[in-house]
Amino acid sequence: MALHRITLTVNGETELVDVPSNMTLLRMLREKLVLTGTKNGCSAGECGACTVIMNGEPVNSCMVLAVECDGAEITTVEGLAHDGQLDPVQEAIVEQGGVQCGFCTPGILISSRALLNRNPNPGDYEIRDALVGNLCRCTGYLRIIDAVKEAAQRRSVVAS
Amino acid sequence: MKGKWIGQPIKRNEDPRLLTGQALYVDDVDMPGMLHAAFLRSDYAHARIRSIDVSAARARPGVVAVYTAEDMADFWRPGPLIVPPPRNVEGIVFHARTQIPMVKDKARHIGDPIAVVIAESRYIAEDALEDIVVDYEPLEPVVDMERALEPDAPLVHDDLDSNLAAHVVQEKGNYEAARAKADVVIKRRILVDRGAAAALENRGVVAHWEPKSQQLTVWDTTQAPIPIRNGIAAMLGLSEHQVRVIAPFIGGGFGPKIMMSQPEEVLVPWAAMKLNRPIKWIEDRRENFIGTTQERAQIHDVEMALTRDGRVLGVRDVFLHDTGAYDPYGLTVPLNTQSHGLGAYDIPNYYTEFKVVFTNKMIVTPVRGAGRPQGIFVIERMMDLAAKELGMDRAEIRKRNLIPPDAFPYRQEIIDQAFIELVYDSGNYLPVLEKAMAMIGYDRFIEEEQPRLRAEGRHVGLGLVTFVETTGVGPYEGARVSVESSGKVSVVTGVGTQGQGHFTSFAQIVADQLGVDVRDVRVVTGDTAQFHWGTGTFASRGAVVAGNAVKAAAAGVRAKILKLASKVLETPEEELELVDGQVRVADIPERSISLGELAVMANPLRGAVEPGTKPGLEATDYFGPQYGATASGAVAMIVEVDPETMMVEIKRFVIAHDCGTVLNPMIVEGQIHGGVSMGIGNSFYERLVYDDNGQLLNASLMDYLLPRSTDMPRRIEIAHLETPSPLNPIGSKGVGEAGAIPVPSAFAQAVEDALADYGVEILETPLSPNRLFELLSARG
Amino acid sequence: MHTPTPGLPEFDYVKLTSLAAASQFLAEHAGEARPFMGGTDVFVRMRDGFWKEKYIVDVKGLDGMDEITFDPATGLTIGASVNMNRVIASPEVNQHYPVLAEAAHTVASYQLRTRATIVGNVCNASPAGDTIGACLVLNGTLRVHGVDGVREEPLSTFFVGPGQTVLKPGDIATAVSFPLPPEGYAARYIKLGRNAIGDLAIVGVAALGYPDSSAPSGYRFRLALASVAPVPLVPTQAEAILAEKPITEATIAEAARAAMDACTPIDDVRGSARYRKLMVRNLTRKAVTEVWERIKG
Repeated sequence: MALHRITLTVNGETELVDVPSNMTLLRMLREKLVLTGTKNGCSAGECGACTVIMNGEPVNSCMVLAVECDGAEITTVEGLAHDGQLDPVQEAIVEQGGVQCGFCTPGILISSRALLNRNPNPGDYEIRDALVGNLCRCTGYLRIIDAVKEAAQRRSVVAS
Repeated sequence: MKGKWIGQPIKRNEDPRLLTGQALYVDDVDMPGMLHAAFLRSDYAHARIRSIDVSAARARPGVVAVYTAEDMADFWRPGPLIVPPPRNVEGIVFHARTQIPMVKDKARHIGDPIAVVIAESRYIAEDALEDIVVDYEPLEPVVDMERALEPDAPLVHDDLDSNLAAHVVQEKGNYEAARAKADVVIKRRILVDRGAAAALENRGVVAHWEPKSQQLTVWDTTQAPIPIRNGIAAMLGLSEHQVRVIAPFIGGGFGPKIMMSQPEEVLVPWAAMKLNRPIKWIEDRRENFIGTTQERAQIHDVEMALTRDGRVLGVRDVFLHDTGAYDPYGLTVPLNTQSHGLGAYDIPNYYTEFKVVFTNKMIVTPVRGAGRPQGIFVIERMMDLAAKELGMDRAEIRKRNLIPPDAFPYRQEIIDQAFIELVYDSGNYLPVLEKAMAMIGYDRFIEEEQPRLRAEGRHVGLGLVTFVETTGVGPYEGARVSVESSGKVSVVTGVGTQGQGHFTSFAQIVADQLGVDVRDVRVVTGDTAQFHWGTGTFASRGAVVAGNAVKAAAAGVRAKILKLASKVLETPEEELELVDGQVRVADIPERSISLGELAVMANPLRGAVEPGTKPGLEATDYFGPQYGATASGAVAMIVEVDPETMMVEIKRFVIAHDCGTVLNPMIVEGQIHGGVSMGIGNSFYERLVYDDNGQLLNASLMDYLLPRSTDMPRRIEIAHLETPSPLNPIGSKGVGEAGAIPVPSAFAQAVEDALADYGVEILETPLSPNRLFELLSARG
Repeated sequence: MHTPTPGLPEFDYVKLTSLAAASQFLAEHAGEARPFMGGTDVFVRMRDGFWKEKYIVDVKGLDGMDEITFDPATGLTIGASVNMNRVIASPEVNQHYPVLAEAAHTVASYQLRTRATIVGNVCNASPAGDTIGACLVLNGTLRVHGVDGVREEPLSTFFVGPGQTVLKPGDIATAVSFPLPPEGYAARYIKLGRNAIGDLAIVGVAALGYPDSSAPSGYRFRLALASVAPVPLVPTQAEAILAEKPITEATIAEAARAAMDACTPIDDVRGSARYRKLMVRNLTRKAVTEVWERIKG
C-alpha cells in the first residue's frame, strides 16, 4: 500500500507526514504525531471522543482519512489553550464540575468550542443539540451544558 | 464531620491534565518495539470446537505469534473465583465455573476468545484473524433463563446435571404465617432485562517484561489493581513484588473493570514474557459489547401480603438470575437484589429465594447498581400495585411502611454480599421522602396540575419512590500519608479511580487533618508499586473505606507532627495548631515551624533518632468497617408520554438523598447525575437484545442507545440530607450507585400514571417506545 | 464470516483531478473501486467487512461540486460535496426548501454532518436515509457524471433495492437539484427514533402539500416514507386519496391508513413491523395535518 505525503497544520504547527491510504485522521494524530489527547471510543462516528476541528468545523477524526487532510488545519484538545491560557470552555468545565473520568472530555471541549465559534450565545437546546454526538457516561451532561453556558458568558478569546 | 475543606465544593485537583489532553490512559502507553494483540472470538453462542487452523495466520508477514488454548499448555487454567459464595447461608448450592482464558472444548457465548494474534501492528493482527480457520460444531444454545432449567435443556457446562449455577433461600420472620393473616395478597411476575456498562473507554492492557530486572509492568484499565497484580503473579509463577500493575487514568469503570483475570488480562502479560516484547491490547467497541461483562437480567415471581390499611406484613420473592456462561463473581449481584428487596421499608416477614442460571450469553458481574436496582424495582412496583389495590395514595402507603428513625441499627436478618447479616446502620427516611415530595410539589401536581393537563388531553404522570443503597462494604482499604521536605503532602492508596474525584476528596480529608491547602496534597491511586494492600473501587466504597483509611493515616501523621513540633517549639501539644502548612503556638502565631522543616528534622541524615521513633512524617493506616453503611433517598419525577408514538419525555427530576457526611458536594452531585443518566438508560434506552441463537443484535453504539444530552431532563434537582454513619469516623456513606438504583422504578410508575386511562400495568424494565406500544396493544 | 474490526482494511486512496478521469477510473475498475464523499457510510461498512474495495476514489470538490446555487427561475442545486450542516445553515434552503434543512437536522450529530452530504445519503440508498424523503417530495433529480457524459436521474426511479440504485460503474453523482416548489406549498419531515435525536429512524415521514385547482380536492400532497420498505417508499394510494377527496380529518386519516397499508417493514432492534406500520399511520396523519394547516386557504 502506497504512502501519501501530506502537509497539514495541527494546533498551529506545520506537519509533514507520510500516511497509508487507510490511516484515519485519528490514528495519524495519536500514532504519528503522538497527540493522544484525542480519544478512540468506537471507531464508528458514534461516541464523539475523537472529535477535532478540521478547517473550522468539528469532525469525528475516526471517520476522516489522514490523506484527505492534505492542506487542512486541525485543532485538537492539545491546541485549545493559547499561551498557557486555557480556553474559556476548559475553565468553565472545571468550575461547573463537568469532568469525571475525562475520556469524553477532549471531544466535548472541541464540540463546545466549535459551537461557540459559530454561535457565541447558544441556548440550552442549541447546546444539547451540538453535543448529541458526544456520549458521556459519567456526568449525565448537565454540568457540561452549564459549563458551555458559562463559557459563552465569559466571551473571552476564541480559538480557531 | 465538616472542616475547612471537607464538605466544600472544591474544584478537582486532577482536572488540568484531563482538560489539555495530557492525562495518561492505557491506550496512550507506547513503548519501543511494542507488539499488538487482537483476539479471535466465537461467532457462535454455543459450539464445540473441532479444530483450529492458525497456520495461515502465523505465516502472514508481521505476525509474531498466534496462540490458542493448546499453546498455553499448563498456563491454561480457569480464572479465580473472585467472590466465593457465603458460607453462612444454610443449604446454599453453588457451582463455580470461572472464566477461561481461551476456549478449549467449546465456546459458551458469543465473543468467547478462541485465539490471540500478536503482530507488529494492530492492523496486521486484525487481518491475521481472518486467516484463522475454526471448525465449529454448532450446538443448541441456551438463551432463555426458564428454558435453561427445563430437564431437556442443553447444558452450558456438560459436567453439571443442569444449568443451575446456584440456589439460595433466605427468610426473615415467617412469610407464610404473615400471609395467612393478610387482608390482601398481590402476586406479580416482574422482569428486568440486560444492559451494558458501556464505559466510554474500552478495556485495555499493556504488558512489559524486563528480563534484566525480572520485572513485569502491566498497565490495565482496572478498578482493582492490587488483586490483579496478585492474580497475574500467581498465574505466571512470579513473586508479587516482581509485578507492578498500574491503573492510570481510567475512562469510566461502572463495574466490569473490577472483573479480574479476564482472558485478555492474563494472556497479554503471559505473551509479553514469552516473546520478551511489550504488547498492547485495546478492546474495540464491538468487543466491549460481546467480551465485557454485563448485568441485570432477572425474572421475579413476587407476592406481597398486606393489611387493609396498607401495612406490609410480608414479601415473598422467588427469582431467577441470569449469570451468563460463567459465574466468576459468585453471588454478589443476586445477594444484592435480596438485600434491597425490602427497600426502605419495615417489613417483618420476607421469604427470598433465587436460582442462578447458566446461559449461553456474556458473563454477568456487577454493573453500577449491581443487583440493587432490580430489588428496588420489584419492591417499589409492588408498593404501587398495593396502593392501587387498596385505593391508597402511593406516598401514604410508603410513609406507613418506612423504617422509623428509632429502629436503627435495623436488622434485616439475611446475609448480604459481604457475607454478614444485613444491617441498615442509620438513617431517617421520612424526611427524605417528604423532601422529595415538597420539591416536586406532590400535592399540587396530583390535585391541580395533573387534572388540568389531563383535561387538555395530555398524558403526564408522576413517579415517587424511595430507595436504599448498601455501600462501603469491607473488607478494608489502606493509605500512606507523607509530608515531604517541601512541605507538600503525598497520599497513596490502593484503590483505582475511574473519575470519582478521589484525587480531590482524599486531598480534602488530608488537608483538614494537617492544616494544608488542598492543592498541596498529591494523591496517587492505582499503582501497586506505591501501595500494595487493598481491594478496589467497587460497591460505592471508595469514599467510605479508602476515605477513612486516608483519614486514619493522616491522623497518624498529625500525631507525629504534634509530637515533634512540641519538642522543637517547646510547647505542649495541646497548645499547638496546624494552619497554612505551619505548626504554630495557638496564642503566639509568630512562634511556628513549617511542615517542610519538620519533615527534614524527622528524617535526619546524621545524629540519632530516639528509640521508638519511626523516621519521617509518614504514617500508614487501614480502615475496615464493621459492616456496610446504608444510604437512602427518594426520587420524584414527572414525565409526559406522546400517545401517538409512546415517546417519553422527562419533564422534572428530583432526588433527595442521604449519604451521610458529604465530602465534596460537587463530586457527590456529579456521582448522582451520572447514576441518574445510567438509570434513565436502564429505564428507556438500554436493552441488550439477544436473539434465539444467542447472537447479540445491538453490539454497537448505533444500535445500543446510551442516553444523550438531549435525553436528559433540563435539571436534576438535588437535596442533601445528612445522617452520618456511626460506623466510620468521617460519617460517610457511598453514593456511586445511588442515581442508578431508583430511576427505573420511578420511571415505570410515572409512565404508568401518565397512561392511567389506558389501564396499563408496567412490570418490566427497560422500556422503549415500541415496548410501551406493545403493552398498550396487549391491553386492547 | 467477516470479523468487524476498528481498523480499516487495506485499500488505495485515489484522488483524480477531473470528473472525467474519475469516471474513467471507476469504470475501468468496476467491482473494485468505489467513489466516496464524506465517508460516513463507506468507512463504517468497510470496517464491518461488508465492503472490500481495492480503490476508494475521493470525488469531493471536483468540478464545482461544492456549491449551493439557487436560481429563482429554475430552482435549487446542491453540489455533491456540500455537507449537511451547510444545507441546514443555507439561507436559500431555509427560505425556499426548509424541509431539506429539517430533514438534514435529524441526521446523526453535528460533527457527523460536517462530513455527511445529501447526495451521499441519496446514493447510499439506505431505506432509513433521512434526507431521501425530503428529496423525493421536492421532486429531486440527481445529476450524474458517467463515462458517456452527464445525465439526469429523477429520484422517483432511482432506487432499486436496499442500498441499490440505477448507478453504474463509472457513475459519479455530482449534484441534486430541485425545481421551484409549487406555489403556496408547505412540507414537513417527521422522524421517530428511540430517543430525542441521534438514532436511526424507526420510521420517517416526509409530506409536502400545495393548492392545485386541477385536483378534485383542490390540493395535492406528495409523501415519502423511510425505514418501512426495502427502498424509500412513496405511498401513491395515500397521495391519490388526498387529491381526490375533500381534505377533512377523516380524509387525512384514510390517507394515513393507506400509507400504512403500503408499507412492508421488518422487525429489528428499533421496533417491530407492527409498531412501524402504526407509526407510519400516526405520523403521516400528523405530518399531513400540519402541512394542511399551513396551506389551506
